[in-house]
Order: sequence, then structure tokens, then C-alpha cells
Amino acid sequence: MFVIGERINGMFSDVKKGIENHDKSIVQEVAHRQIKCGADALDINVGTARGKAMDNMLWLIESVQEVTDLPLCIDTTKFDVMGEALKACKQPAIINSSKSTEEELDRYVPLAVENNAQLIALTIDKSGVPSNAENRVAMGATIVTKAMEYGLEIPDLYIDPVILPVNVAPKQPVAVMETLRQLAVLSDPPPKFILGLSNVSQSCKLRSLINSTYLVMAISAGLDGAIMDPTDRQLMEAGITAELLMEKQIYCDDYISAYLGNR
Amino acid sequence: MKQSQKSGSLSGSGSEKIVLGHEKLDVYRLARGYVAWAFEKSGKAQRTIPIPISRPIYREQTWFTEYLLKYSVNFFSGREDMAIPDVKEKFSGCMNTVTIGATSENGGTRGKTISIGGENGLPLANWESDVPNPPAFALEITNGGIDGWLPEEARHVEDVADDIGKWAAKCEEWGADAVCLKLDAAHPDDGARSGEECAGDVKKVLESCGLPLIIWGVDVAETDDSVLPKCSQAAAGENCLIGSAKEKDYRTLAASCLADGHKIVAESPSDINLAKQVNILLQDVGYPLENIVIHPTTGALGFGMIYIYSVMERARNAALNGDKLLQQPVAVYIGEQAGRVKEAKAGEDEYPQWGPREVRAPLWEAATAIGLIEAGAGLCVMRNPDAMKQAREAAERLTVTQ
Repeated sequence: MFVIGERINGMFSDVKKGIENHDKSIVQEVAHRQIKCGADALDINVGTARGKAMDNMLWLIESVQEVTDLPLCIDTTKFDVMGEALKACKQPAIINSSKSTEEELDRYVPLAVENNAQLIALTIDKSGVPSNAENRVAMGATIVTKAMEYGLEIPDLYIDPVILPVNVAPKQPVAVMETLRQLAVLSDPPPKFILGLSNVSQSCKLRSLINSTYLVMAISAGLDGAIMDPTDRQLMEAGITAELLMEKQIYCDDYISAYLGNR
Repeated sequence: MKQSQKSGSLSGSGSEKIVLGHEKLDVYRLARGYVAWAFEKSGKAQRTIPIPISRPIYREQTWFTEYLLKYSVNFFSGREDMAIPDVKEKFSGCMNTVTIGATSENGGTRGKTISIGGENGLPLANWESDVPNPPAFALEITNGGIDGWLPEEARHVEDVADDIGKWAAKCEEWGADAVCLKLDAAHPDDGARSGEECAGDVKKVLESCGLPLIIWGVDVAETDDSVLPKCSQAAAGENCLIGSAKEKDYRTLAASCLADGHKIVAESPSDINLAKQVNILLQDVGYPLENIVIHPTTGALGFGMIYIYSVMERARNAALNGDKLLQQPVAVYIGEQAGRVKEAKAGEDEYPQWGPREVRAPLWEAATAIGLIEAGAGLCVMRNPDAMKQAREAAERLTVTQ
């Protein structure tokens, strides 16, 4: 399970405060905590913090890179910020994200290739998030084709079939799982699949339970990783156990610590 | 689908027709073989061509059908410039390399060292992956006498069995990569030789031969916990391999090996889950994963080899896919186990049709070793020097010459 820690995001009040006061210790603390709990990469998003997005992004990257060598997942919708951010990353980074319109893919896929970065591409086009699996699969095919066209290695490509909150879009969780199953046979080797997991429980009451249950369901449908909160222990342990049951790990009595200690 | 009589000369040979959808050609391959054949479907003079294949092929592999078609078409049109496609399997993980023995440069007194492991692919698959170290062979010596040994195993060592030093020197002469001292005499039912005395045996072996040393306990927790630390100390700095740590008994040995600079054998009875668990337990007490050698216990051919084989197979696959807790090279303890099988033990008077025991017994030991080497064993502890030689030669033949 490839876990991208979601907590370094200006939407969270602690990180927002850190960005606005240029207090590295807050951001670095959040980074540390996620790494300790099993993050494989860290999402970096300036959110709604005051100040210029570009400056905030570069400051965040600098602060986080002082304490870790893990890959960073640059989360911004601004193309110019993405370009500068990738240059600032010491390790090969992850672009989060491109939509599956031709215009966006024609810019982001080459950007990934140039910067030796991985790319997360969302199954969203001009008309938004599809309501069914069929349109998601069609977009997935466009994404893979574009990746091949520009020479992005398919294992460096993540497709995010976009999960919506279950309280407002109850048919979506099943549609996303169906998409995962169908996209897996699209190419050999297949692209990887990732989800912005926490979105499934947006504005719900039992968020942790919904997140961990859906993570398990999605892993059983072929999900490879998630942008999620690794400090949620129940969530992490559910994901690790799901992979064990999918025979992605060999059992031993201490399989949780075996996983966390030896990634 | 079997070829029909009228269409060619391969009927009855066990070959299978491969459907290529080509109007002029029929292609067959020998079952699971390295060679395929193509025929022109029509025309009076039927031409048959052999098609070279670099590795065993399976019909479901699409590269293969494409390759066959292109090759055949090129051949019949007078061109032979088809390159065999690159279909090498690549993995993300790699086996650890474990080196046993220390020369004077590294603070020991050994004349040489051996390294095992280090592969980044399937066992012996050097056509598609790195196999930096060929399988290593150790010969077993014991301080407990050879009463339990088969006549064929004992025959070689009768003259030296009561002098552990001479015996060790003999192993070097026979071309072993390492010598494995089994402390049988320490067993409570077999004399309960003390730790100090066993440490004396260790020193004798170290003085009389230059091979890297493996020290193996008796599988009784209290005995191993009192004897092995003394032996470990006596060999401090020699970078030995000492066995074995088990789920219920690993702390003492781990501490000794850490203190005296030895590699450790982690043992689990034919159980991959336990193999992983013992490694994590050793890691938890601070013993480095890269100094561990896994012993999945050993079953001889005819005596449960398949269980060990499949444990090793699964472990290698998991290791190559990145499981750091299974990336340790594997040692198997063959001589003792092969000697327990009826086919190696029974005399000619009992089974005349099985042929002479002096041929059969070493063959059985060698066959067991080869089977387990194919499953991924990096180190084989054997008894019969003839069997060791046969197994080593067979392993060399199984590796593709580049």
C-alpha cells in the first residue's frame, strides 16, 4: 500500500498557522508524525493560507525537505506553481494532479517526463466527475494513451478514479470499485491506482470508520495506494490487513510491525 | 491440438499446434520445450524449420506467438534477421548477500570467505538476473561420532572421525566451501559435552583448516543456550555462521552472535509465516536482518522435500517483490536428512533392483541438494563428498553459460 500522507495541507488549521507565521516546527512536526505512522510520501498543499501560493509552496517544500528524504506529492491546481515546485524537490516528486482532458494531459504528462516525476491523473473532464464506471474507464484509457504517447513509464502513472462523499453521492463508491477492476486490464503492466480517500467521508459523522472500511473495499478491487491520514491507526492497520488478505504480504504474527518497520 | 497425419511429420511426437492465424504456415512446438517447428501448409515440398527459443515457453505468452510468426514468415521469405525479443523478468527486490568467514584482513584467520545470496531474480536464472554467488557447499563434521551415519557417508571419514581437526582438514582437501561443525556430543542424551569442551573443538577446527566455519547446536534449548555462547566466544572475529535461532529460543544466540561478530541461522520448521516471525523477533532484539540466513528446516527427497521446496519458492517470490523480512539467503541441512530415507539407506540384499547402495546413497543426497538449489538454497550442508561434487557439477550445468 502506497500511502501519501495528506496532513500537510493549508486546509488544516495547524498547518495554515505554520505557513502564515512561517513556523517550520509546526509543519515539520506534522511531517514527522506521518512518517512515523507509515507514510511513503507526503502531500504538500498550501490550501487557503494567506500569501502567494508560489511562495507558500516553496517555503513548505523547503521546510519539509529539511526533515525527510521521502518523495513529495505536489498538490496544486496552478501549473506554474507545479513547475517551480518540481524543480525545488530533491527527490523525484509526484504531480497531484492532472485532469483527463487533452489540454491538461498535454501539459502535465510532458512535465512529469521532464522532471522524472510520477503523475496522478484524475478521471475528471470538463463536465466534471462521471456518475458511472464506463465514463471513468474511458477517461482512464485516454490517460494511459497520453502517457504512452509522451513516454511516461506506465508504472510511474497513478490513475485516481475520484471518490465523492457517500452522503451526497451514494452510488459512487461502487462505481469507483468497478472502475478499478476494469482499468486493471487496460495495459500490461497496468498503471497504479490511488484515491483521495478522505473525500468519501466528507461531512460524515463516523469518518474514520467509513474511511477504513472503504479503503479495505477498494484494496480488494485493486487499489494500490491512497492519499490519506496515516496517523489514523485504525485506517492504517485496516489497509495493511487488507493487503495481507489479498496475498500482497506473507503472514507472520507481527505482520503490522513487519510492514511498518520494513518498508 | 494434435497435428493430423496428412499435414506433416511431427504427429505423435507430443507437439502442440499453435494457432497463429497465418494462411500459409502451421507452427508447432514440442511440449514445454525450447524448440518450435514451422511448416508450410501447402505446396508439394514441405519445408520444416526449427525455431530457436532462448528459454522455456508457454503458449499463453503473447510475445512468443508474435515471435514465432515473424520468425517463420521471415524464414520462408528468405530472411533470418529476427532478433529474439527481450522478455526478461525484472523484480523490485533483491536477496541479501551474506559473507561467512574472515581472513586476516578482517581480523580473522580464515584462508578464504564465502558469500551466498545477492540474486535479484529467480534461482539460477542468470539469463535474466544477477546470480553473483553460485550455491555454496559445506561438509558436515561432528564431535559426536559417526555411529548414526550411513555406511556410504561414514566410509569417507572413518580414518578421521575421532580427530575433529584432521576431519576438518580433509573437508578442505575435498573442495568444500565451508566446514559445518555439528555439536552432537553436547546433546544431553549423547554425553552432554560441556560448553568449554565444545569450544575446544571449535578452536581445533579453526587451527587445522582455513575454511569458513559454521557451528550448529543440538536443538535442545538449554543445551544450545549454554554451549553455543562459549563456542561463539572461542571463534570471536572469525565471522562464523551459527545455528540456530528459533521462535522460542533466539535471545541468547542473537546476543552472542552480535557480541562476537557472527552471522546467525534463523530456523523455522517448514513454515514461511514462522520464518518471517523469527526474523522480526531477531530484528527486535537488535540483530541486523542482513546478517541472517534462513533455515526452513530440511526434508530430503522422499521425505517431505516438497514442503520445504514450496516454502522456499514462496519466500523467494515475496523477497523479490520487496519483503525485507524474507530477503535472507537460505541454508539447507541435507546430509543428515538424505540419510534418513529408505532409498538411500536400504541394502542391495533387500532391494536388488535399486542397484548398488554406494552409487544410490550419494545420488540421493545430490538429488536432494539439486532440488533445493533450484528452489533457491544458497548453502547446502552435506555429508558425502562425492554427493557434494555431483551436486556442484549439476548446479553448474543448470546455470546458462553467458
